[in-house]
Amino acid sequence: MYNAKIKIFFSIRKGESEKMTMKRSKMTFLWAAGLSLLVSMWACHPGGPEDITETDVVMTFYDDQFNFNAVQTYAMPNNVFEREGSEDVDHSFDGLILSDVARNMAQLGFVRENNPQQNGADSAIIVSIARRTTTLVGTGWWPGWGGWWGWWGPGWGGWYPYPIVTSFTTGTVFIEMYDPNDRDDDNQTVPVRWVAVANGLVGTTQTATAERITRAIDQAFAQSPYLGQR
Amino acid sequence: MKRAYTKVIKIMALIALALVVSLPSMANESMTFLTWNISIPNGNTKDFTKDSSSLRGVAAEFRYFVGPQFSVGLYGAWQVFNGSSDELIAIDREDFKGDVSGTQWRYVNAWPVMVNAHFYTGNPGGTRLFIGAGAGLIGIEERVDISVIAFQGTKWHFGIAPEVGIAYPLDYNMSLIVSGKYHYAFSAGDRLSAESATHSFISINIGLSFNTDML
Repeated sequence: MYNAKIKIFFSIRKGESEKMTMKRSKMTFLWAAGLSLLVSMWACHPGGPEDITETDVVMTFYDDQFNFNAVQTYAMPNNVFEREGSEDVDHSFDGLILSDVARNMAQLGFVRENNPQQNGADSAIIVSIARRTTTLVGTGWWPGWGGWWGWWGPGWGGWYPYPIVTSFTTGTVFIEMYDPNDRDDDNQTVPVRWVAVANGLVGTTQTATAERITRAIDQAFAQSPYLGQR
Repeated sequence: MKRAYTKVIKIMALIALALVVSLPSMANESMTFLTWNISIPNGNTKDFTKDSSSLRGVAAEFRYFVGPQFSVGLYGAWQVFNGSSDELIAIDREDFKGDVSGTQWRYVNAWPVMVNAHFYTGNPGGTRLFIGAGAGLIGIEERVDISVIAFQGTKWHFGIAPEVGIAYPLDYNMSLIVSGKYHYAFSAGDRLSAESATHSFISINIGLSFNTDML
């Protein structure tokens, strides 16, 4: 039995029959149910990058059995190479990349050998870059946005009867420390003791790209403290 | 993920819609809940998502009274936790070691689907306190986005959800519901978050119930 003494916004209105009250309550609840379904169409993965620089990532890998303390000198070509399979790359940042690597190596106490063919070196630093465009093609149903009341029904999903295509382009800088003194002449291979891979979406201005490259190279050395143990 | 998401939404929608439409034909007392859930992650859920609280939660529930003070029912919900982190990720494998740095976006989507039972104080038609618990499955999706790469895994855990709340009558057959519920998902094996990972969160649920032949 409903307690007629409770005075709330939803209480029985003057002159309203019990049947009308129940009908009104049911309609209110159905509206709440519909609203809940709309709310339930919100994103499963909200947030995410709001700036292209937030997609930058730096990965470093190393041979934990190698004694980096034994490395005192290094040789590094004055070129930035292109990785096999890469799309056309912009070489306007080559000088910046090489100078950033040399600066970080010097800060760690490494000495650059400018004539390795004559004097030899403990390691060789090879810098390379790559550019790649990834294309995604898909069809299918997408959950409705739920924020616009189209006449066909709120929160209905969209369906693309034709393929939709999206693509993005990434640039990657590779910094590899080779150990030429442990090379395998028979198989013509040289072990890589440390590698840094800096990757990010292409699309910022020249100035912003230069800043991102410097920040990424500095981060690669910052997260590799074992390089500086000598 | 999209398949699991659409499946849960469809199940919840069918439960809510079918029950609400068929309520007048039911002879016994029942309550159908719809609530907005505010949740606070704890334990592994908080450590993984770096989230302090979530306003993205919704639940549907049906309770059938088998006695004046006791009900059994079905419960389904969806809660989203999300956060970001700049912590260095250490990789420690037998064949190589390394580190990964970059902004990570971390997500946990939780879908409890349970049966429950509750005990009530007070009398029909008045304010009623209830206490009870649910048991069943909790679907947990863990996801980490870094750069243009996503790592994702979904598993169904066995879970429990004790609850305490209050039903305050607003109308002839509608009540305001406020309750607190603790969700705990037992380990279902190794996850992205941790080995033998469990998940847990506390929800404050606010909503309405449509009642038949009671309150």
